[in-house]
Amino acid sequence: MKWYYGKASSEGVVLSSRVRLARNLENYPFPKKCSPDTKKEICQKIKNTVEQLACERFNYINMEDQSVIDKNILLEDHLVSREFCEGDCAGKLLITDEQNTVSVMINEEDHLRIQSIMPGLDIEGAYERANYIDDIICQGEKVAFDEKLGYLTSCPTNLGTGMRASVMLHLPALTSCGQIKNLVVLMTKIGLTVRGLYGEGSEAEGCLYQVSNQITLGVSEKDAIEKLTSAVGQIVERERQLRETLLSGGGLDFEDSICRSYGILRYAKKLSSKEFLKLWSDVKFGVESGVIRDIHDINLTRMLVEVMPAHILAKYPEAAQSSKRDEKRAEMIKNYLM
Amino acid sequence: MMCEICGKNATFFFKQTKNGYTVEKALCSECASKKGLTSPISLFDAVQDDFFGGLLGSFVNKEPKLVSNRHCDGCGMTLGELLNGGKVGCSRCYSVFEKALTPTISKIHGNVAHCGKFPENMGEKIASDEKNQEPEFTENKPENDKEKLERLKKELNNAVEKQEYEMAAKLRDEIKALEVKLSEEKNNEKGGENI
Repeated sequence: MKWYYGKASSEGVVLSSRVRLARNLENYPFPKKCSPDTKKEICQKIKNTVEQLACERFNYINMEDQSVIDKNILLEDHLVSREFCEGDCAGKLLITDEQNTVSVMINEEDHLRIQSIMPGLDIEGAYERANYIDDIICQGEKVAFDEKLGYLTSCPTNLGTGMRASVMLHLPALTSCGQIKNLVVLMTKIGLTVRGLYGEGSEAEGCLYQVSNQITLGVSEKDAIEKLTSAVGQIVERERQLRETLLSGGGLDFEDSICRSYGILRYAKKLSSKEFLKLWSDVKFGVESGVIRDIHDINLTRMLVEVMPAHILAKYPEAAQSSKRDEKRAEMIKNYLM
Repeated sequence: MMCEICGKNATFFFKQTKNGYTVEKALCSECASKKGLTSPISLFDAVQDDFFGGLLGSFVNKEPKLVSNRHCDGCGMTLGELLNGGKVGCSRCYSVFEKALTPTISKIHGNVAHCGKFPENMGEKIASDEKNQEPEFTENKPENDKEKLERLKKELNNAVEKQEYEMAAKLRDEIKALEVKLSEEKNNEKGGENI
């Protein structure tokens, strides 16, 4: 089951929690300095270890064999990074579990990028899952580690725990009140980063943001997770307060703009990704604030992912042109909402 | 072609032939202007910048200014490459380029040491290190000149294959110097036999 099928992913401000661990094998140069043959050797080594030591079944996806659409689906599902899909994919292997809660990218920037994604606010759960896979790999392989610098990684920004924990947030009220800049400054001060999920900073489309820990050296995994969880809790609280203010102070104008977005989303014949993201954000806000009352049991997060370009293309191969895709997108959304 | 710094579309191409090797750089206009590569006047400013020091040094100095001849014996990474890309090539780079990396690491994370998870099999390693006062580093045993020559030749082939000509030029010079040294040593030995 993909993370966005879970109800927790669409029930509030936090869509998902993700943890990724960067690891390298001790006796090999990092992927940038590896020949394709060495990369393949590393893939095989890790595959053997996982097959021997793990008690569950995993899928092994050779990235070289994947079509552009398949790679982009993995990207839109947040199972892989953009870097992992781009360029020469020889010697890149993706390992996923049956539930798609964990994915291991082999030969991305580091030999191993172990990533777990959970619906809603559950950074700890995501860490536990990723850590479990890390333990399995550590049993079979010698990992590059230094007592002072921690896990040795290709980029010095990941030294130490090699852990990047991030939370995907939907912040329409903070965005419309112009508070994102302040949020970015505030978070930077406490060692966290705010990024737009689609587009940078305050211009983030769909009011979707990613908050993650910046520092990995000298801070334990536990402390980093606690800090991020507490910061996210405060952001969510502020977002909720502002939503109430908007709702009570905005009156009919506010409701009007939400309902207009809903109308377009429901009846449009063509929708570009960009327009969709704006309308989607308004509608999600509308549903959660009680302005839109006739949407029940619809997983808006699932809809968000499934109308992204590669997902549409996989379902409708004829929609290669973006204008055709815009038509299909509108059609799919209508089916969701009717 | 992509910009070597930021990955955007490259619109600025820099080409220089030196000692029979051609060095090419592809940059986007933004990064090119950041490096001062759009006007000949600011070119000299760019020389101050270590990022392009090795490449552009030859414009102002007769002797090419290299960032450093130092390279990692684990992966062949040079200091220039490291400064340019900001990423290391293998775990050994952290000790080889310790001086260059320490300020950067402190800037990112603060002057701190790792706390948090240790790899499971590390526990045994540390324990055995404590038992044996002098841990064996079989992999780190110094290579002799002949082995070094072989390794450098392999690296040269790799560099040429990958079209890393800057690297190739450096390796070629190192090989030459080493060959001269070895043949001198051989002559000396012969001389000794004659006596």
